[in-house]
Amino acid sequence: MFQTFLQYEFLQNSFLTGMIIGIIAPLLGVFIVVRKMSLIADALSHISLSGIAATMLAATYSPFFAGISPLYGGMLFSVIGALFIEKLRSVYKHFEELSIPIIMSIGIGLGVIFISLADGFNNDLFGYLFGSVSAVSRTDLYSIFIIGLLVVLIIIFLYKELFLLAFDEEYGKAQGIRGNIVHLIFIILVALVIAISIRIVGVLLVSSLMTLPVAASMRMAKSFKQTIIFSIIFGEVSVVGGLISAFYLDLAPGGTIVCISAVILIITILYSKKLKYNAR
Amino acid sequence: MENKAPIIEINNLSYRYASEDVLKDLNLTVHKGDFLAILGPNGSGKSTLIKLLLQLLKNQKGEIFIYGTPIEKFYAWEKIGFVPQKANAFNTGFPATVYEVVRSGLTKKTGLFHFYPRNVKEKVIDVLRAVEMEDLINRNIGELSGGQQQRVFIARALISDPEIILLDEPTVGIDSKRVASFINLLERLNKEKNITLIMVTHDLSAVINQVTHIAWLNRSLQFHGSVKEFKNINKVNAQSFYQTDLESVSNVQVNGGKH
Repeated sequence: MFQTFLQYEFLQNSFLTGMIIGIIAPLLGVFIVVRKMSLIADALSHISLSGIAATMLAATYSPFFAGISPLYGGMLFSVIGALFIEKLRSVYKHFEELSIPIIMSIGIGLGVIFISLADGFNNDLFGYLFGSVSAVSRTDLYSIFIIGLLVVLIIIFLYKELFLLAFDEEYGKAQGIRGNIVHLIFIILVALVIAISIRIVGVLLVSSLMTLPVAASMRMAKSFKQTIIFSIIFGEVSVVGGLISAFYLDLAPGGTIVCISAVILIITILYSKKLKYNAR
Repeated sequence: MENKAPIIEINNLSYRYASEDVLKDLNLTVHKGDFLAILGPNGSGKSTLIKLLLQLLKNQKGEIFIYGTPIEKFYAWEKIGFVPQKANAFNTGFPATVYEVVRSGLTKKTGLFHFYPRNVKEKVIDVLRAVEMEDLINRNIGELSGGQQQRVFIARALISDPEIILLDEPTVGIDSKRVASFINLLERLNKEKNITLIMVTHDLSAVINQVTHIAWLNRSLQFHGSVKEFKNINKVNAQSFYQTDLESVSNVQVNGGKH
């Protein structure tokens, strides 16, 4: 079975991309979930879609844009969207969550306009919404690898600060830690990871890769470190299993990945209930 | 007492929210080794004062000096520990162990882009021993009782070897039987490790036998002095003073906070 995967370059690309995002999406997801910002991933994925659509639309007018992977348009819009979310959070201090539906609806609105202006890419659209096993080019893979490496390194070096600010932001600030800057760096990483995950899981399901493995992990883990490790394992199993089954059953990988994550989540909930029952 | 070095000096500090003065012309000096209880009714500016001392709020008017340095230019925050009010400190579902929480107190001291020191585990065990919590090092923080969580937060403050610890109503939400042993723990840290403690509290009777100094705050400073001075100006029972005899104290103005 793995021979087929190694035979075709497009499958290798998707497979390796999947393995990278299976690590970094749940890694960032742990910090997103404990800070109660789960919905931010949805907002950023929709704004990424408008960036992808804008690049594809621009490509129909100018050969310059035709040479640029829509991945970069998605990243650019996603990062800009993340910066706007941060700005809106400070504007609406007492309604911080308001920033998420604002950016999400702007993302969908722009996306719909760009998509209807260029009806030439309707086939691709399905892939962008629900993921595709054949959509990653070799150059995309290289960019995704570099971003993955960057994310892991930054999280390792900012781990102390990210943990403290997530656990008790006031204490972090009282210790003189520049919470705003750390947070800004983090949110930009989230924006980048969402943009690169879209090709595999799709706009509509990308946030699940940041939340479902973490939700399952929290049922099992006894420490923050374990929460991260289990999340990555669950994320990796979901992505790899999802890609393989999507290929053989000819399904959209977004759906299979999410379904495997959901099965893992259900198993962990039942298992932790059993543990509690036995402990009585 | 008064010949010790001042480590915190507050001069003419005022702070307003909207158009209301929460603190007005506050002068207060804290000396090394003091165990100061800041008392006062709700809305008297106690928590605002703590937030200003931690620079979670920025000064609007007046000055604060820490070790003689204007607070805006003070960067050695690892010397100042903080124990928050338990009720709003953290999300109890947070998946972290006591070890991880206590270790996070070293974040500032370790420095940006640096990793925790090699002996971090021993350091965590040391401070947990000081608060009699070393057996619970691997427990999830959310599983502990309120009093135990508060001890963990003290350990987190202790791990960076602070010279001052600020506590904002640390006994709120702890059952009354455990408050006494908690205050005794603070007294021990104050006496044995010579850590200066500044504690905001509602409950004078719980702390009067352990603290060395009392500041009575009601937007402006009504009284500041040693416990002995406090008892002298207030022949009646201290607790009843706290509840009813506000007027007599505001007329006394012993020391005015300046030494």
